[in-house]
Amino acid sequence: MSEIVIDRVGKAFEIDGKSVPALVDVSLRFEAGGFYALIGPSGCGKSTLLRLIADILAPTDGVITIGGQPPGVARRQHEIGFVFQEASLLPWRSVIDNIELPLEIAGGPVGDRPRPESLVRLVGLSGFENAKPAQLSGGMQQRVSIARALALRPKVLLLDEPFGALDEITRQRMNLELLRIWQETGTTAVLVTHTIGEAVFMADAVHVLAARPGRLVDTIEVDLPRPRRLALMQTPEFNRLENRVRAALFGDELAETADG
Amino acid sequence: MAEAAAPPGGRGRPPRLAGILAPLAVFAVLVALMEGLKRAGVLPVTVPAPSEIAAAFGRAHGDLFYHMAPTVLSAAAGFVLATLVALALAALAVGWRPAERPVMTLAIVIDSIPLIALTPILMVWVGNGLPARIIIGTIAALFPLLVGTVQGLKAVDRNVSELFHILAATRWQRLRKLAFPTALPFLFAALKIAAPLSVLGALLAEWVSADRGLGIMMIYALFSFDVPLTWLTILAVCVVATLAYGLVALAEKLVLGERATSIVGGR
Ligand SMILES: Nc1ncnc2c1ncn2[C@@H]1O[C@H](COP(=O)(O)OP(=O)(O)O)[C@@H](O)[C@H]1O
Ligand SMILES: [Mg+2]
Repeated sequence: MSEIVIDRVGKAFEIDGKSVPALVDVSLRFEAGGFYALIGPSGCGKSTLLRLIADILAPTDGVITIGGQPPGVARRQHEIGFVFQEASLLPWRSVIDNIELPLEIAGGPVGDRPRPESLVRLVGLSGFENAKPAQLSGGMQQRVSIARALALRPKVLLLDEPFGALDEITRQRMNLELLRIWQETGTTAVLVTHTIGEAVFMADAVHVLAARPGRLVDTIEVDLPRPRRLALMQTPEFNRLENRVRAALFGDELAETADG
Repeated sequence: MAEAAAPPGGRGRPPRLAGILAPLAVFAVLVALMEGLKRAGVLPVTVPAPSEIAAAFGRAHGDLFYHMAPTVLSAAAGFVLATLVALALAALAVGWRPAERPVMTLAIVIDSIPLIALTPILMVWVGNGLPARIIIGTIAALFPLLVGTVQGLKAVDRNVSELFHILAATRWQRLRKLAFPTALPFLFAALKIAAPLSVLGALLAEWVSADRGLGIMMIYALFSFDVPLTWLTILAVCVVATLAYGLVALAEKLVLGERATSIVGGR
């Protein structure tokens, strides 16, 4: 529900006293309530970009704003939800207690925040409220972590390869549910992925990054109708968009192999 | 929701009779063997037959329990004190970066001083009463507790740590809801090492100076060449130390439940 603006942002890390650029001159705009995908080879700075938006890191150059404010303000107002590649749950807490953690930490009046019970239902884990993370499959753990990220009704939902460790079938199913949840909550979602089909299927726009140094190389607008259904993936429209992302990712390499 | 998963709810293991009987049988065989060897005259005079130790218990059990009480008291007090000090120092070392090195260095230095040398010096300083014995019990147990707690507090998952940052958690929330629960399995591992050490520390302090305690009873028995009584006191110390360990292990089971067995491996 908040617009995210990334204006000429750069990030360098100090490695052995030397400054190594991880991201260079990235400018992006994520419209409020939209769904965006970031795709690129590993090491191109996708996680770094998400962590800059979440105010875990500070940019070396440029400015990021969330709803017109610095990310730190959005963070302290609990407007940011984050889903990591690993579920990263607290193993000693039950499902419901893990989902309640952000509420405990934020404190204050519950207001119009969703109740943890309804979040459990939202992510399809009814009946497992009192299970410990170790008793759940990987997909179920990741559902808990999504519910936890939604607990404070964030205006921004950042997802860093959330289903990367899951099998293809489970991932498809989780993606469909994520879209449903996103539509129900109306949050601005940014999904990091390294699967081309996933990026096109989920997003309003796919931003393609390249490595060394990490930079933005192309943006592919996805004008496919919503709600998205699996059958969509078999349409020529979908394949055309996939190919455009692939072309942006592989550039000249792709042309060479096509010729040879 | 088609993914398979174990239904929630624990699965307890039924207590196995064999698990209790086997060690008892081994113990009985060892006792019988020692008795036989002693009667055959193979063992030296300094090693009594188990029946002689039993006889010593028969004649001196009043004395034994009279002397056991203060040892247990100073060991327990030292153990509790060591745990509190270790928790406070570890929280300081982990919560405030500049403190880590000085705290750990000091701990290593204190730990490397031989207790047998430190005890008389300390007694000159604070007297030879209960406080001195408690302090020695504390020092004896402190180091493994500190190392274990520091390691545990640092074992926090990086992602979860970032999550707490995103949630704008306070220092106190981070300590109470994240670092401390993460450290608990490490803490219990350290407590199991530390509990018998506290007993040894208290015993050592009583050797040096005390009017009552298993340590002084042991010294008396030794100097009056009462071999069975000496062995009885040694046995009593073993029992106290083992019970201390067992109590901590029990507490661990109660507090950690299923997490108790999985200190290593898994995430
Ligand atoms: N905390 C850090 N310190 C030093 N270098 C880092 C740090 N985090 C990321 N990097 C470097 O920045 C680059 C981008 O990393 P990352 O954002 O994790 O890439 P991606 O998520 O796209 O795989 C990599 O070269 C990585 O080594
Ligand atoms: Mg990454």
